[in-house]
Order: sequence, then C-alpha cells, then structure tokens
Amino acid sequence: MKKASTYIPSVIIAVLLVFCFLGGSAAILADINVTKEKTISFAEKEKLETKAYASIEKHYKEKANATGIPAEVFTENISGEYLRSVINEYISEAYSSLESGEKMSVKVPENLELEASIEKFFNDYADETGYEKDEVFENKLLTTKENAYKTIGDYCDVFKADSMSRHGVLSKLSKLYSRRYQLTALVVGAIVLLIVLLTLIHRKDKKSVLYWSGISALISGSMGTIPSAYLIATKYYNSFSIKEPQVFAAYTRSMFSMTEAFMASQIAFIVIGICLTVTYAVLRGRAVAHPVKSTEKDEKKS
Amino acid sequence: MADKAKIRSLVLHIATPFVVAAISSGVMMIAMIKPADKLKVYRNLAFMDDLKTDPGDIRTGLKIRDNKIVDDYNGTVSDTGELIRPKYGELYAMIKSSSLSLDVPVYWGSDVALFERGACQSTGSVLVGDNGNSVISAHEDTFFSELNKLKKGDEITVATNYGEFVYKVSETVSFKKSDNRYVVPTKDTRLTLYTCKKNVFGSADERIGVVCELTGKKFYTSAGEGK
Repeated sequence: MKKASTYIPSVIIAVLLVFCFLGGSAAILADINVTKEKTISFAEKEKLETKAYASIEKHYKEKANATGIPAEVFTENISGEYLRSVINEYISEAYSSLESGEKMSVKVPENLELEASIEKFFNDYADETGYEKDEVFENKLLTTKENAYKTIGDYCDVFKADSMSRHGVLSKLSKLYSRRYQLTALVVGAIVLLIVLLTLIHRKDKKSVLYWSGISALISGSMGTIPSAYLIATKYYNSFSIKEPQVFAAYTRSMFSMTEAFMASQIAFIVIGICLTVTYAVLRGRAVAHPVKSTEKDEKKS
Repeated sequence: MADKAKIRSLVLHIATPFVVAAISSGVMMIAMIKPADKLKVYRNLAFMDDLKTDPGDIRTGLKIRDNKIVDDYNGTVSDTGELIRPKYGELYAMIKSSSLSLDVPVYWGSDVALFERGACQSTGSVLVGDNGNSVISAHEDTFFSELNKLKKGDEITVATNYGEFVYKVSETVSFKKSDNRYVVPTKDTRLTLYTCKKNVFGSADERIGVVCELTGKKFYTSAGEGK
C-alpha cells in the first residue's frame, strides 16, 4: 500500500476487476435466464395469451364495421391454448434466430376451427346474398384467412422479435448471444488472471489481495445495486409507452425480473466484498498486535 | 513517526475504495453512452412498429403493404431492366450498408405511419435505379440514427424486388429545411438520403444527409426470385 509501484497497478487491476465482476455476473445471469425454456415458462406464468386474446378481440371488434365480418367469426375460434402455442412459436423462432443469426421465419400454427369458421361465414354470406362463388370470392376468402393468421401472429409476438428481426436487430444481438458461453468463460478467466496478478504484486503481503479483491467486489456490487434499486423503486419500465397490453406486460415484467435477479447478484457481491475487507482488517489487526513476528517475517522476505 | 505512518496507511485504506469507485463510475458512464443510445434506437424500432400487418389506417385510408424484399436472388441479371412501380404505402426496397448497423426498409410515399415503419421515399423522386434523384428520408432517432456516420466513399446497397443497386457516397451534406436543392430532380442518377439534425432544444430545422452516385446495378430478369 505504501509504494506507488504496487499501489497504482493495484488500483488499475481493482478497476478492471470491478468491470469483470459486473460483466461476469451479467453474463452468468444471461446464460441462466435468457433461454428459450425460461422465456416460454415466463410467458405461460404471466398468462400473456389472455392479454393477447383481449387485444385480438378489440382489434376485430374495431374492424368489424370496415370489413363487415363479425368479430365472433374469429374470436370464438381462438382458444387460450392456441394463442399460447403461437406465442411459444415466436419465442422459439426468436431464439433460433439469436443462435443462427438468420432472419426469423415464423409459421403461425394452423387453426382449422378458425379457417372453418371463416369459410362458413363467407359461404353463408354468399348464399344469403346470392353471390356467385367465383375467383374473387375464393381470393377474398384466402386473403381473410392469411390476414387472420398475420393478425394473430402480430398480437402474439409479445417480445416484438419479428419486428427486431426484420430491422436486423436480432442478427446483431446474435453475435453476442451465440458466443455467450465463450464470453462468460473469458470474463471468468480474466477474473482469475487479475487475482493472480494481484497476488504477484502483493507477494510480500498476500493479505492485501483480500483488500483489493474485496473493494472491487464492494464497488462492483454498489455500481450494480444502486441503478437497479432506482429502476425498481421508481418502477421505471412502467413509464414506457407501449400500446399493446401483452407486449407491455411481457417487456416490463421480464425487465423487472431480470433487474431484480441482477440486483440480487450485486448484493451478493457487496456481502462478499464486505467479508473480504473485514477478513483483511482482522488479519492486519492481528499482524499489528504481534509486530515482532511480522517484522521478522518481513525482514526475511525483503 | 510510527503513528504518522499508521494514520497515513489508514487514510489510504479508506480513500482507496473511493478512488477506485470514482474511476470505475467515470469509465462506466463514458462506456455506456454509445450502447445506451443504440438500445434506445432498438427499443424505439421494436415498440413503435405496432401492428405491422394492419390492413390500413382507417383515418387516412393509407394501405400499408410490407412486402418481402428479395435478398438472396440467384437467378440471371442484366444491366438493363424494368422498374416495378410500387403503390403508395408499399415497402419496396431495403437499404444496407456496412457503415449502418441496421437494414432500413424503404416505403413508397411519406406519411407519419410510414415513418414509424421505416424510411420514406418521396413520390416526386425517381425509383431507385432509375435516372434522376431518388430521395429517401427517415427519423433521426430510429432508422437514420447512424446516417451521420456515413462518409465519402462508403458503399450503400439498395435491394428491391426488381434489382440490386450499389451506390457510393459522393458528398455529405447539411442544409436548411426550406432549402430544396438536394431534393429536387436531377439529370444524373443519384440517391439522396437525409434526416433531421439532432437538436435537443426543439424542432430541428437543419437537415443532414448524403448524396450518393450509382456505381453498380443488377436488374433481376425474373422478378422476385430467391433461393
């Protein structure tokens, strides 16, 4: 601590350790939480299909006047289970795109009841009005079915993955996501290397490694905890103006849950940091209490 | 003397965490500027683009069509070919450049709803690949957030369903909203991309953009064919 030749490198290594601890905990949390299975289970737990259904129902009720097709033709044949399968399909495709870096190509699962309901409405309408079932009729029927799948797909893309894929955002993120394990290993390796470097710098007073690692953990924990606590306390994500309730719920709740997990890991770093610095203080206190032994030891070393 | 050394050591032990914290926070704040800006753009792109297959805006009668733009054409090509004129509100091209981190969809026509989905091309300008000035603009906080990164010599590819056209940035420009000299028809074949200049104090009157010259063109001989 006394010499600048050990102090300055130690400060630099401590700063690097702070970022490695932050990056490492974020990477490990992402490895654990940002997975297809976890996201699907999150969507099911939050019952996003019920919100998606309400939005679809609202959409068709609003469109009924313009299209002349009653909302019930669609809504009575869309079950919660079906919507859940569509949401899961979008989530699965988003993760495939993140792994491969290719654009998303989602095929909304078939809904034969819905198709039959649309066909029945068109046929009944044609029969009632005496409309000849010509090519125009067939085309309109086909377009209505296709649009129904597109509309259901749009409302079930609760994480807006398709939109991000079309704008090239997912392919950019995939560069990070597909290398997440290597990145985590790299950060963990860097932490080990930095601690080894600290040990080499303080080879004459190894307890100091506890102090430097301790303050790094403490600062990293504080730097992660304070902004996370602010985001949670002010309910920051709730201030986003996202029009669709199912997207709002998916986005804000997943962000809150990830922020909470990150904050918990950072609190753990604070605890570790405090433990390390207290241990250092105790060991140093003992060394001061037995100055003869320490001095002899130091003299021998130097 | 020993007491003085002890006090100095104690002060150093207490001050060091604050020093490390100050350096780390400073580095963190500087390092987060760019990613935070990018995240904001990604968030805007993802969430403002709601209901992309909505058959139309009832208020304006606008019909938006999100066509799939061929990006993996493997058929025969030609230097000359036929342009396919899109309908108003139709997605007809995709701008790509290694200098931009996003692929930007281009809609034919200018409308608030279209600007939320991509860049818009003025219908008074010529289609991409045609002789004259193709003028395309987009919001500076979403699709053209990185337009200011383009510099002279950068390559821009515009893919359409009738061909692929390569442009090279020949000039970076800055002009007032009322100044039409870059958006008027021209005799040479060029592509003009522009957006508002960021102005935190209010509405931006200044435009920034790039003028690009056509350096390569490939017309697809069988329209819309992909792998």
